[in-house]
Amino acid sequence: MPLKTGTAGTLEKLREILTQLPLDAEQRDTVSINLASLNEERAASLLKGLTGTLERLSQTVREVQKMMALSSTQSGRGAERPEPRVSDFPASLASLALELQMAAGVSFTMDPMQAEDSGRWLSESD
Amino acid sequence: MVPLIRKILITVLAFQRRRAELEEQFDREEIKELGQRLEEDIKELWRQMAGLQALGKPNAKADPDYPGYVEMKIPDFVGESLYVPFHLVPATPDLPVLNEVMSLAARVRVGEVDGRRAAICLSGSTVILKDVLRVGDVDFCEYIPAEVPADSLANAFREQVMSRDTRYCTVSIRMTVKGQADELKFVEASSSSGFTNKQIEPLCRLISMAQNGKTSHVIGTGFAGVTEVTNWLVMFTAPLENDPASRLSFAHQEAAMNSFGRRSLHILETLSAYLNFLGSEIKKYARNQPVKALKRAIPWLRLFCNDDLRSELLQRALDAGVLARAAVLAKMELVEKYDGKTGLRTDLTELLDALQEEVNDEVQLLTGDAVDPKGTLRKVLQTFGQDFAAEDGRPSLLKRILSLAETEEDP
Repeated sequence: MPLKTGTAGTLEKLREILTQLPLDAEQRDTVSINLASLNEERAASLLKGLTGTLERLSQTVREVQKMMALSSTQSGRGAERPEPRVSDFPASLASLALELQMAAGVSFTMDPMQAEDSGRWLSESD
Repeated sequence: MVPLIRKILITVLAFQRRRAELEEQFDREEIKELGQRLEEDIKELWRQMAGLQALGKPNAKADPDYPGYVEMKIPDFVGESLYVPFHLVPATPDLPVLNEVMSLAARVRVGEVDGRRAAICLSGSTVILKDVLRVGDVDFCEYIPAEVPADSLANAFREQVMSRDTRYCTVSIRMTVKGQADELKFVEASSSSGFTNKQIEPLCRLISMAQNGKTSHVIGTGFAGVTEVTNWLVMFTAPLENDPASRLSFAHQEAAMNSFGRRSLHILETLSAYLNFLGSEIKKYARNQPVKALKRAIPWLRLFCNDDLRSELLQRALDAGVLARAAVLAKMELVEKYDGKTGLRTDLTELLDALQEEVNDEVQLLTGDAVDPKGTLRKVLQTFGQDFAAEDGRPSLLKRILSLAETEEDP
């Protein structure tokens, strides 16, 4: 049975919850329309699931915040990412590069990359 | 009212930043348990977010195994799916583009050799094409298990180079080997007359020593014209999540093109690292590379659930015309990379001619008869960057965007 006036409260509550989540206005409208087409049982189950999750999360967040407030030191260090894997390798790159260049023949050319390219490549991804 | 999601993300960032300090002051096990509970709760929320995003979409469903991914079926690719992190779904391009993206991925991947599948993901701004509208290049990231032999990777690359498909041209491979200093090597195809075993052998050895690398291609696409397509290669020892190499990239900004590319999206460490990365890049590039900063700000604003700032940023970018200008500048740089080079392969030459024509048309449209078109395009970007960071009687747009992670007050 589609969600009708009798369950308008459910729908209203769901819409309210959606504003707390990472959804933009257009998505909230779309989700609301899709929710309205669900049967009452399914909509109620969704509401129950979402409410339960958000309540649990709110409680956990409160506990974490309380713990941090209790901590005597307020200044934390910035989060640091672990270093990526660095494997040992034979120190023969220079000769290998030369070999590659020699083998290149007419089809390939090889240029050493610029020094600034030797940093993390992550930020180059777009 | 501040959305709950923002409170959650701010808490995750603060908790991770101060974790060591908390573990020193309180019972280490208690802090660990609290962190695990937060992670499990976020995992459940991500699962439900993916369900909401998939609602009403016939080809989409929430991924039951990796909460937070929406599995999107691509009708033209039977048996294959695209796994998109939930917050990127509204910005992910529609089917005609996704079909093309799937074809591109099949063309540039090197790891699927002898039945051993590597995981390739769509990365970069193409994942959020619906928001950014224009891209200057297309990026993939391929995770290659250690057991895939170097010679099969080298041979897959050779096959791509030797391919005679006129729309695709594989031009280079570059591998990163870390030791006392980074060593990067660049091999560029100038003629397709051959790729001998003598060449393959040292290439295999270079690949076998590398931790990561990149192949570059010049490809004629329907959605981005003639453009550079890159495929970052990340070598890892399975499982991917346990290998530090997985931290070279962020699962939260990649759409996995098969199930092997999925990673946990709810882990506090990776979630906070992703947010810290976005925040620092937005700050770093806002003035000088504002379109790059914008591309980092879009997922940031989508996660923090701030429509107003996202709309303001995109509207300002559209009004200034910077998205088109940044894309053209990227293409001009691609043309310049080959400028004056002789003996290039015929297929590459043809693609570069088409690219030059495309650039000329766009430059004419955007700059008219400007004496220094590149300078004129850059000037517009520069002005946009200054506006982005300008304090004009109220906090700058940059500051308001960044403050989402710093305070629970409305920016």
